[in-house]
Amino acid sequence: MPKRLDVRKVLVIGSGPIVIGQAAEFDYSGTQACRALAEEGIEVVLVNSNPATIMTDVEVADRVYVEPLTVEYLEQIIAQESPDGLLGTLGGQTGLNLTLQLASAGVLRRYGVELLGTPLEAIENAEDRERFRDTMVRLGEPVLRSTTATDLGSALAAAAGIGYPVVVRPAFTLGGTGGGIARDPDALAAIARRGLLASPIGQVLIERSVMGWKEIEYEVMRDAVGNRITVCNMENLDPMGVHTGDSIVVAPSQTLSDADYQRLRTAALKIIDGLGIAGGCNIQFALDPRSDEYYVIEVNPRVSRSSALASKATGYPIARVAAKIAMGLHLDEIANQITGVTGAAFEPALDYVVVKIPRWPFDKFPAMDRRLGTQMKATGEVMAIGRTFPEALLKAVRSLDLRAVGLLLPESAAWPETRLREILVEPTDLRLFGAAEAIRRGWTVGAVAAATAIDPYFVAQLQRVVDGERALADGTMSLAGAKRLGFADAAIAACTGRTEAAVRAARQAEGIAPVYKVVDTCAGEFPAATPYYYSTYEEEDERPAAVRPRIVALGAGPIRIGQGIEFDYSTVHAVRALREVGYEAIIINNNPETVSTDFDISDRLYFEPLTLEDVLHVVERERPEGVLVQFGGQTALNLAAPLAAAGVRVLGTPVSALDISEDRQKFYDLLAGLNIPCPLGGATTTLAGARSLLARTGVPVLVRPSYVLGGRGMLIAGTEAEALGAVTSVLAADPSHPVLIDRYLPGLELEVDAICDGNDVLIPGIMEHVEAAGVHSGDSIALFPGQHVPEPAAERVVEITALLSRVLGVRGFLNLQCVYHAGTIYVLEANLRASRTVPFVSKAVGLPLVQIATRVMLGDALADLGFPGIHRLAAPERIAVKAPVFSMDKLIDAEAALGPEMRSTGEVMGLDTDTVGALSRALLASGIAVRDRVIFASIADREKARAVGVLEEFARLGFRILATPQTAAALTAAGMDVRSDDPMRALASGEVGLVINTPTRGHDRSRAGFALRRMALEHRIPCVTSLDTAQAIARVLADPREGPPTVQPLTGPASN
Amino acid sequence: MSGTRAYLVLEDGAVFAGVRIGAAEDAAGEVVFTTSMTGYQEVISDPSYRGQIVAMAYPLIGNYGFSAQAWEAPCPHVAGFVVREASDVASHYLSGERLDAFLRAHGVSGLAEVDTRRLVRHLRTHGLQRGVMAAGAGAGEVTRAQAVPALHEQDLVGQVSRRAPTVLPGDGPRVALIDCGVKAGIVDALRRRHCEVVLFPYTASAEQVRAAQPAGIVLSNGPGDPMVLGPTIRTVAQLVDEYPLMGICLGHQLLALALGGRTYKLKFGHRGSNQPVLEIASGRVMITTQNHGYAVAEPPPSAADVTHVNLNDGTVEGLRHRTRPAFSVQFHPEGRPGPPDAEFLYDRFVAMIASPAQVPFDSLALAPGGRPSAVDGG
Repeated sequence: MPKRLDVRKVLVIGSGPIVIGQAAEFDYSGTQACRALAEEGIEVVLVNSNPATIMTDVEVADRVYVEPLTVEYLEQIIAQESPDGLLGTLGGQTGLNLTLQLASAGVLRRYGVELLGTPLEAIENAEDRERFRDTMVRLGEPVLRSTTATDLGSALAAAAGIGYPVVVRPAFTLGGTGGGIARDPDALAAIARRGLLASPIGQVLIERSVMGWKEIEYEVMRDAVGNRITVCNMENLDPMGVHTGDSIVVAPSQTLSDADYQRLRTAALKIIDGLGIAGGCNIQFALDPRSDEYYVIEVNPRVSRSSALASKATGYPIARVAAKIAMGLHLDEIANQITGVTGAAFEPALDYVVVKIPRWPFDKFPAMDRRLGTQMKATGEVMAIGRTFPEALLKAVRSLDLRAVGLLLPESAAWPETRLREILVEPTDLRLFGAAEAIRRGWTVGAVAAATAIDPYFVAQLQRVVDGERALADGTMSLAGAKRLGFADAAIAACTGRTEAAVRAARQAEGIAPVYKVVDTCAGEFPAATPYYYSTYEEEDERPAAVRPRIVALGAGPIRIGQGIEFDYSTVHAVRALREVGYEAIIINNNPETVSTDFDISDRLYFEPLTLEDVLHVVERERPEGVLVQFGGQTALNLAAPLAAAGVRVLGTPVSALDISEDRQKFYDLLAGLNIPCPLGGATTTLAGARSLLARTGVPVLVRPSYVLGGRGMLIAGTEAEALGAVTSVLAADPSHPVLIDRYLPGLELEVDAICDGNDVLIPGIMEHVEAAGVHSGDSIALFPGQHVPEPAAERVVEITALLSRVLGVRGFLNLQCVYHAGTIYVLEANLRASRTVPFVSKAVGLPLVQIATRVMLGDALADLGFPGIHRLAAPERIAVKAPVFSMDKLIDAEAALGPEMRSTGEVMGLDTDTVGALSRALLASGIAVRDRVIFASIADREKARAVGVLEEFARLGFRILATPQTAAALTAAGMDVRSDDPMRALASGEVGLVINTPTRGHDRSRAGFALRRMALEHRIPCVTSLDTAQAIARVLADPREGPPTVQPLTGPASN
Repeated sequence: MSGTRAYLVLEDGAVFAGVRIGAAEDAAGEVVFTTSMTGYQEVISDPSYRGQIVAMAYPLIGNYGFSAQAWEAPCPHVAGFVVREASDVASHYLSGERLDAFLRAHGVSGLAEVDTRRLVRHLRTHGLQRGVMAAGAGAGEVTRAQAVPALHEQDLVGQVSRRAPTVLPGDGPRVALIDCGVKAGIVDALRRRHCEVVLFPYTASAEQVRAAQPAGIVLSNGPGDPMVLGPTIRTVAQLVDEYPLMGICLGHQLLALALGGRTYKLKFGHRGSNQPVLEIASGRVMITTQNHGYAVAEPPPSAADVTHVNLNDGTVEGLRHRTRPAFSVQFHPEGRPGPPDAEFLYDRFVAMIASPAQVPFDSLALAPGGRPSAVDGG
């Protein structure tokens, strides 16, 4: 059947902000789908609230709406655009849920919008637990004995019938939110209570636990006439019990015989047929390692994180094909772009092995429970490709950007035996390293396999690596042998007591270098048209002929808190600019979720770790004109100096300037020389040094390590004792870098993302943070352009930006953060790279800032690009508000209060012609919805006076105020009508619509405030921890808008 | 790399270094590759690989061991076995036997640590070649590779067929299976459908087959060039007019030749578990297992229509006799290794035996371009 001609215009729903369980993979799939639809001549309308996405670029869709993802806003967009069809299976669970809501609210019927791709009934049959089970029973596929429960009593009764341990799975949630494994009724009660709240329909499934079984996934595609194929299967190294998003995953399966493989594949095809899916789906099985018994665990009737991984692992573009299927095309009518000669109706054959490892935020939340279970905790993941399992595994570990050397975690040698056993038995992020450590201590493969339930095949591979460490140490392994096994130069150096540079020199003297092979979907059977490479140590290098001059752009690696999708956005834009100018653009990155690692974004994609060695290998092979390091976040920037030292040309700002901005002492010296005020402070590596610094600065102070990402380890200390405690812990964590102590200045925090060409400076505008300085800029609500900055202050910011840019010789981006305090602008820090806010600002002003910066780094003058002099752009038509989004409901024991450490995982953007309108949209999009006009307040002593003013605003809006006894006493004394109440009882009552809790400084988890914040999260009550945020909410509530919201698409680059 | 160094040397002089696994002897044969990611034991024991050194494109081989269930014949048939990595562990509840030990126990020479992707690309680019696995890689080995008899110069089917008929009881229709090197999977597929299977040597005459009074005939898979099997082709030509018939792989080629068609050698064949095949009548795509170096040429014999085509290269994948209840497919409907998506073809065959007048396929609906027109699958 040819493609449908009756569908001319399609609405695509994105997945909104990045949260744990729903990350960059949906930008990847949505972008790919939009392009696939455009190829078919379809007019694409895209809606997403997340500005840091490629899919919201005006080039990707015909019309892009950055609006809250709610039925109300979607209905307005549908009314305005009148699309013929809707694609809701590309925006993750958010998109799917919204699609279901639009259908059930009658919106689709009312506006005559057809649901394209997988039919509604199939989605419901896969998503609703009860219907899913009935469908599987009808198909004769085994499912676990289970019962749905809608209250605690029935959950306990169900478990009593099934027998413990049981798994609790809430219906319709992201990444298994609120689920868990319960071994007894007490545990079940706790988990089920959370699960019932987490499920939007208040339903949980209680089922038999198959912990320890193999977890196998199949990615399956089916077209509307029933042609179906499996893209690949994947084996979780961590057996059942750990969420697949938190598991180390291997593709293809390694321990399944052909009979096992085909049995599950046949079941998968039967299921996708039985559900009637038209598009892609992910099917998870539990397979008994001791028999051929299996269970169908879950079906995701949409593209997913796993499908993104499968796409990158095989080269098969699942989202693209799913979009074409939705347009009526059959699998055999869709071309395979990788080979250019075969079609989409085939199954990829791999001739390599792929390993994915999740990236967890435990380094950001050191006190957090590291145990892994059915609730996903990872923020991102890395993928590596090798010709052997150890090679791929070691590359993946390198890509994580942790402090492990190979499989050796520095602290593991100090683990007592009991601790080691605990690490093996209870899954955490440490288990992989624990297994290696156990082998190092003489455990057998069998013993490790028994303790972990990890298949002996995989444990034996870890043994090979540990044997390699030993053989290197005792001189019985050659350099060539170590490289072939997958050891990095740094790991060889660690095992042999040499420096990495010495190993590198020895290796080069022996002529040992990697070769690069192509990911081609067909194991070499057909020539591949796409240059998608991975390295290995074998004979043949599949080097393409060099056509044009090349430039390498370094990606940002895995998504983590502080280094998110924004940097992938920037990488993609940099590459776009390179290609436009005529260079061959080369990307090095290791994140399978992202747009940048889609095979046709760059001219050459290297799926490799972002270490000096791995990058140098690519550089030596490609001999590029230069390397771009400003777009891949701190990961890329940290490589600038070592690359330059190795003789590589780093484009843009000189490396010496990067060093000045990264070394706070040098930076502050520079500011002093330029008479630019900055908070008093300094750096020290000793406690004594800290004492003398504090004598100079006074308190409060900001304590933080140097060379950090997203403010890791930052703290505001109100007393000297607190400050010295923080210094001690920072030095303990990383004694090799100094700790920084700065006077903390409360005031209006301002931020600029400027571009400089060495002389001229482009300033898109000045951004203003809603929360006072001290809240990490990544976690604060921001207005663009700032609405409360007096013009002389703004001019001073522009002046400082220009001065610093010129003095530092910036060619490319300068991100400047400052505080407006008591009439003076103080500079806090400067980052000489594309910052987290670049996509937001680009969308706010309608200019592709990264592309402009890239042109500048290639040598173009800003004046020639239309931005002469010190060029401050005029304010755009609409005010933009950025609001952070947290994944605190996934990180159940993490501190939820805002502070100098970044904690948000994603962001949304609200656009309107006035501040309150834009704020209102941003807050709504970020999920802050105040349902009931009752506030529960618990305010730190130092803020009680200010809180009175804020709470009075709420009282005027008709809010009743409840508070903890202390807070209530203070507020009553100030003349407010406040009722004292027990926080737990108040929150459980269900009448509270907003919690305002400003924490006492310090990170004490035993305090009542910590419990209150967690309690609010569990009851899904918005909880704000800054009075500034509360005030913003009050402003929005005080100015409600009448009638349906207006919606307006983004506009493209304005003519300059 | 540890172990004894050895080489795979091709007739064009290309050399691939590795280390010996399995039997310590040299090996010789036509060098082919398969892209199947699982099913190495089925590959090693598939009689169609007789006379061939098989390279696995998937690099990690031996991970799940060897089991009694995965044999396609009572013994290995590959002339040599080439892998990137031979697993040191075999992890599966059905087996703990390692690849190296398995090959040694069965006298199969192997080579590990080979850049198999380079080998695949070489064969894809330059076509299949003869080669030797040896301790050296000099001019002598190249000469030896060039001296390896070509497939069409050997009676490979004679090495893998049987000497005498064998009867495998069943309570369904009696099927005469012309064994040219049959895979156990084909026999199992028929027996699962209750057929009584009478296996005949490939030299069996039409009279001998008739004497068994079969309800239908299956022509099996097998190694080598079908054109060297003149007597078998003539036997098929007689039987096709008398009995419902199904041909598989080599059997498909034999049917084509028996009907006056032609076969030819592909550049590097189809070997793998992911070959997409379009069933023209239904417009449906199936993912199939294949292992063949020869193909049926177009146009097909005048008595037959093409029912299936390969979506990768458009080659003929299935034939149907225009007037007789006979059909054949180039792929393996039973998988093993690979997907059993097309197993229903055995049901069609059994149904065809039950009512030979019923044509097993819907009428062919060829669009002008030779591609199928829109026909909704059911």
